[in-house]
Amino acid sequence: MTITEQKPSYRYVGTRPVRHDGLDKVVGKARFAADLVLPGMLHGHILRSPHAHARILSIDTARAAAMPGVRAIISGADFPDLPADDPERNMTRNLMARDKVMYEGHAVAAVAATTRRQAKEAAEAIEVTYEVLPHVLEIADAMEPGAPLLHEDMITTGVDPEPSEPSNVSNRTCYERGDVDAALAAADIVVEGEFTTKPIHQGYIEPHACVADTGQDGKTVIWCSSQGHFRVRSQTAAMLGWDTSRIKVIPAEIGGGFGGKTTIYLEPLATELSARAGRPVKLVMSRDEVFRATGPTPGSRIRLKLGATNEGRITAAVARLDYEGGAFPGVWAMLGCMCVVSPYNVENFVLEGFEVVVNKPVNAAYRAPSAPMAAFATDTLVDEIAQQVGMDPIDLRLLNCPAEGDTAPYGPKWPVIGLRECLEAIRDSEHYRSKPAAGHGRGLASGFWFNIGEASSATVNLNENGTATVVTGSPDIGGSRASMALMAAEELGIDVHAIQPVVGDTEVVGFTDVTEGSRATFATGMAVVEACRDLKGQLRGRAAKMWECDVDDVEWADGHATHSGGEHEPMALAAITAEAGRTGGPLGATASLNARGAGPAFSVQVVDVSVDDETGRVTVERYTTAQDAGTAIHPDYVEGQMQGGVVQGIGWALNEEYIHDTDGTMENPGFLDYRIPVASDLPMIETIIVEVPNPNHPYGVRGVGEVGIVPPLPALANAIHDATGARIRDLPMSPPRVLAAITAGDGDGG
Amino acid sequence: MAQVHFSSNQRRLTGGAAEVEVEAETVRELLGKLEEMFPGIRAHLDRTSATAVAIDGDIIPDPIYEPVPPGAEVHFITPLAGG
Repeated sequence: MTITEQKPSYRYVGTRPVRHDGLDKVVGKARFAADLVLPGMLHGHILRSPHAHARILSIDTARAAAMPGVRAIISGADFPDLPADDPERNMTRNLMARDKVMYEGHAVAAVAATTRRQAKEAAEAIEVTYEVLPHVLEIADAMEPGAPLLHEDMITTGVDPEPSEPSNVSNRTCYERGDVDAALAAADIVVEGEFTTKPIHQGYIEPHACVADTGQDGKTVIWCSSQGHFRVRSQTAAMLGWDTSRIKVIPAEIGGGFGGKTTIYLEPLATELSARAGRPVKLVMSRDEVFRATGPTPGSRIRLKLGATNEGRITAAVARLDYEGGAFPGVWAMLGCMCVVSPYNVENFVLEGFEVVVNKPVNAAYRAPSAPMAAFATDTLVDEIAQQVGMDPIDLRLLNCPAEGDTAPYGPKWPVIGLRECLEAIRDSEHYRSKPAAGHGRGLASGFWFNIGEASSATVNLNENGTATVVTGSPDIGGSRASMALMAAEELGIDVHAIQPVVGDTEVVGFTDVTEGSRATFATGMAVVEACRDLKGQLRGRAAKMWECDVDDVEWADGHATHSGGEHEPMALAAITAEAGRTGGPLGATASLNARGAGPAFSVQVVDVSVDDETGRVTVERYTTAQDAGTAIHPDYVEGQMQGGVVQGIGWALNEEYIHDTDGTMENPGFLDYRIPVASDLPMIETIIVEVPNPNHPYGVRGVGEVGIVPPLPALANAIHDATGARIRDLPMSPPRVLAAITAGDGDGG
Repeated sequence: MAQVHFSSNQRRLTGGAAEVEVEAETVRELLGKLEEMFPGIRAHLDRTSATAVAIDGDIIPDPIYEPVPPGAEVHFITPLAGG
C-alpha cells in the first residue's frame, strides 16, 4: 500500500520489475567471496584470545611454523603501530591485538596453510603467554571508580574541568534547551524509568570472507564481502602502511550487512599473509567468530524523565544515556542523544550521554545505530503519558509532532519530513481502526533516523544497440542495482531491462563512500541521474548533427530526440547510438558528487501480540509499519527494507542478546542459542509506503534502509503492557522475563 | 552574518555563549574567526569529533571549503554515519 502526498507521474520509477541480479541469486549462481577459488590458494585461520582482558607477554610461532603446509604466520608486531592520534588506530588494534587483548575472541595471530585444517591446527600450536588482567563487562561496573581500565590513557572528553585520571568513559555529550527544571516543576504529569538493552548482533547470514592475492609487484587484489569496497581499500592500506594505489578491491555479492560490514576484519590479514606466502590467501569466518569478533550493536542503560500537560503536550525531557562501545570507544551515546526525543517537539530538555568501554567485541553500526535503544525509553514513556491523560497514542504524537522549520533537538531546523503523514497513515489503516482480538495487546511507537548523503560516483555508457550499462561503486545490499536501473530508465526513456547495472571495483568507478546511513539509492542514485542528464545532452547534440540543425532545436523526451520545429520525426535512442561512431564516437558520461540534502526518515508502527501467561512467550499476531520513503523507486525493495527492519527489531525486542559468563566468554555464539526470528515466528509484516518527496533529490528519494528497526522495541513493550499490564524496561522481553514481569505484577496501573 | 550555534558541550569554550554572529564566506574562514574569538575551540571540535557542520539544516560531513551563505544557521556536530 502506498500513500503519496505529491508525486509526478513516472514511467519507470515506482514500478516493480524483476531485479537484474535476481535470477543468479535464486539459482545459486551469484558469487560470494567464500565461493572464490584461485590457483595455489592457501587458507587462513585466526588465533583468537581466550581471555576477556590480558597482556600479551610473548607469542612463540616456532612450533606452528614447522607444521605441514604452513606458509606464513603473522601477529600484531607485523603491522605498523599507528600513532595515538591516527583515526584508524583503534581499527587496526581491533583487527590484530598489540600488547593487550581486549575481549574474548580478539585476534592474536593468523596462519596461512595449504588446507583449512592445517591452518587451524597450526594456529592452535602457536604458544601465547598471557598475563590475565581483571576485566569489566557491564556499563555500571565499568563506570565505577577503581574499575579495571581498558585504556590506561583514556581521559574523558566533554567534561569540565577535564579529568586528570583515566577512566572507561571516553566522552560525554550534552544537548540542552530551555529550562527543564521549571518545565518539570510546572508539568501536570511526570513519568520516568530506567531502560536497559544488551548488545545484539546484526545477524547477517553470510559470514565475513575475503581472498587476497598479493603479487610480486607488491600490489594486491582483494575479493570481499563488504558494504563499501573503497573503505576496505583505505582501511587495509592504513593497517598495512601501504599506499592505496597498491590495493584493488573487487566487491563480491554480499549476504547481508546491516551496518556490520561498514568496517573490516580480515582483509589486511589476508593481504599480509598473501604477501609473505607469495600465494593467494582466503579467510572465511565461522559463525562463532562472527559473534565473538565482529561488531554487535551497543548495550545501553538509559534513564529518562518526561514531563507533560494534562492535554498531552510533552514539555520536558531529562535523559541520561550510557552506551557501551565494546573494547574501543565509539559515538553511540552521542547518536542516542541526537535521536532520543527527535519525533517530538520538546521545548525544554537536557540530554546527556556517556560513551563507555567494556571488555566485549568492538561495536559496529547496526541499522539506525543507537536510535532503537533511545526510542525504547522514549516511546514507552510516551505510551504511559497517553494512558495517564486518556489520549489516543496517535493523537498524542500528532499533538507533539515536529514539522518543517521546527528545531530538531540536535540543533538544525527540520527540512521537509513525513512524520505526521506516517502517523496519519497508521491512524487511518485498517489495522489501527480494527480492535485487537480478544486477549491480544496493541502497541504503537514511532522512530527517527537522520539518513546521510556522502560521496558517490556513477558511469553510464550507451551501447551501439541502444542499451546502457550503469556502473556504480555502491555494493548492492538491498536492491540498489534495480533502483539505479529504474532511475536511468526514467531519465533516458529506455526499458529498465535494457540497462545493465554493475557494481564496479575500485579501479573502474570513481570513489564512492560506504553504503551506510541509507544513502545508496539517494546519493548514488543522484550520481546516476546526473550522468544520464549529461548523456541526454550528448544525445541531443548527436541528433542535431544527424539532422544538421542547431542543438537548441533538439529536445529529449520519452527516449527520443525530438525537433522543436517538427521538421524531423522523433529519433529513438538506439538510432542515435547506432550512428555514434560517425557522429563523434562512443556515448558515455560520468558523475561524481557529494550528495547533499538527505531527507530524514520517520517510521510509525503498530503491533498486536498475544502473551502466553504460563510461559511468557510473546507471539506477534499482526504488524503494520508506515514509513516515509520520499519516493519509492522500486516499491518491492522499499517494502523489503521496511519489513527487514521490523523483523530485526522484533528479534532485538523479544529474543536476542549477547550472554557472557563471569570470565567474559560469550556463551551463545551460534544461531541455536542466539535466536533470531525466522519466517515461522512471524505474520506478514504489512507495509504502508508514505511518500513525502525529498526536495533535494531529483526523484524525491529519502533513504529507507534503517529507520524501520527503531520503533519495534517500544511498540512491542507497549503491546505486551496492553496485553498483560506488565511494563518491561529491560530487553530482551524473552519468555522468562515476561513471565517474571507478569508474575510480579510490574504494571504502572495504566 | 552567519548565526553559529553551540551545543552545551561547546559552550564551555565560548564562555557560555549559545550563539554568535560571524562574517565568513567559507567554513574554513568561519573556524578561523571562531578560534580568534574562543581560543581552543577548533581543537575541541576536533577532539570531540564535532567536525561536521549543519548549514541551514543540511549536514555536511567534511565541510572545510564549504561556502557559508549570508544569514546561514550553522551547527557543529559529529559526522553521521549509519548502518
